[in-house]
Amino acid sequence: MVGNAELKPSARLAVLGLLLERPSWGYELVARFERSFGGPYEWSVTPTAIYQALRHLEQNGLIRLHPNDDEAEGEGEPSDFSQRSKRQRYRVSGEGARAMREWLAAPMPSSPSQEELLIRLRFRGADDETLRALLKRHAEVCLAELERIAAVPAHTRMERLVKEDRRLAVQARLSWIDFALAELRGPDDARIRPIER
Amino acid sequence: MSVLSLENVSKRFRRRHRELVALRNVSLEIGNGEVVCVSGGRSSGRSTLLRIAAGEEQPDEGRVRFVGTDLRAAPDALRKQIAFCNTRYLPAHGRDACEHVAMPLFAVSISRDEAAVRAHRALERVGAADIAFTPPAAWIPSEVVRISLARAIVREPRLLIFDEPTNGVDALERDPLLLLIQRIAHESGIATLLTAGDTASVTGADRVLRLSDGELLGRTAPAAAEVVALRPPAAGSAS
Repeated sequence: MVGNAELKPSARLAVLGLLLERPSWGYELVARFERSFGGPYEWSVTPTAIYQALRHLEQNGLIRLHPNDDEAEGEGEPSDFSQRSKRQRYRVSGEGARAMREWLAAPMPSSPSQEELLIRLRFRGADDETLRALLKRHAEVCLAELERIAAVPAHTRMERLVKEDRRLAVQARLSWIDFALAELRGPDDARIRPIER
Repeated sequence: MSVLSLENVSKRFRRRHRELVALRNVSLEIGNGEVVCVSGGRSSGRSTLLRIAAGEEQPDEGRVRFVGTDLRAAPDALRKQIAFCNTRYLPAHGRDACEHVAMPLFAVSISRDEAAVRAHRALERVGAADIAFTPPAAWIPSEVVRISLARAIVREPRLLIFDEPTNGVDALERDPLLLLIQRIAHESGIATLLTAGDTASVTGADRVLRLSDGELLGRTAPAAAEVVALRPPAAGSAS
């Protein structure tokens, strides 16, 4: 098992979800990941981590090479993973689809990570009411953190700089939750009819 | 018993053909000496919440109690124990800070001298003794906050409501002001309800709540331990 320890489980779930939508090449997946979840800055997920997620998912039988590509590749299939993953398309196996379904249906932990929330929102793992409850719970976690930050004494300049950084980061997350709650109150994209020309 | 208690308060406004929901089923309890900060974006319902908590506006549904009495039926003497500060619309009464702070006492039957003494004491507590004789036009934003605070505490209120105390105040002066409000609240056992804009500092708040689209999120009631910890005011106790 290489590199599994440092691999975020949420990155695996995101990759699995994206492949469920449609089979993809490794590099295509990196681009889709960035489009869906923001760049490496937001999640600290580098392209390498995405290839590692692919490797992990394949080793566990949750994804496999797309049959068409498999045939095209023939005997000359390179055995080195990194060589293959750059050129070949992956699709989700029956087991992988089941795993994703089960994860989406499972109850959320009481304080889900932002990544987990985003994956659920992206892959519609819950009805609006459940998502709202989820967001509110997430807000409570942020508020508890904000209370902790508020109580931290900051006597030196450096302490104040660190405190302010943490405070603003948590408040930005709360603003996002405001936005997300307002979004969920409004109509879904799918229900908005495109303007007819 | 809570000093302020809101039970399932809802408030709607009609704007032309739209109905805006300012507060959705909001419940909130604030105990003696507790500082509660409600943060939220622009149209989150913060100001509506404050006006309702101060008894300046009636909720469509739900109940507001101040030290156990329904605010609608509260006698004037009780209502006077609620101090409402809003530095944005500060009416600058008086020639100088001292007179401005003493003004609420003129309605009470005490002598002018006594009022001036109390005003001075209040200005000392907020660290504004040195500007006691400056005219309103000379006050900078952080001084306005200190003077407003002095004016609010001069009547020894049970409940202090302060709308965005750090609005317009220089970045480095905000946290000291908020800590000052907290210290006074703890020392004098004044239940304090503050609001903070989206990204405003929440330093000095014992509880931080969030109004999101009219819904109040966070710890809406104090934990039992906090109620005991904030029992006022043992002599010389400071937090």
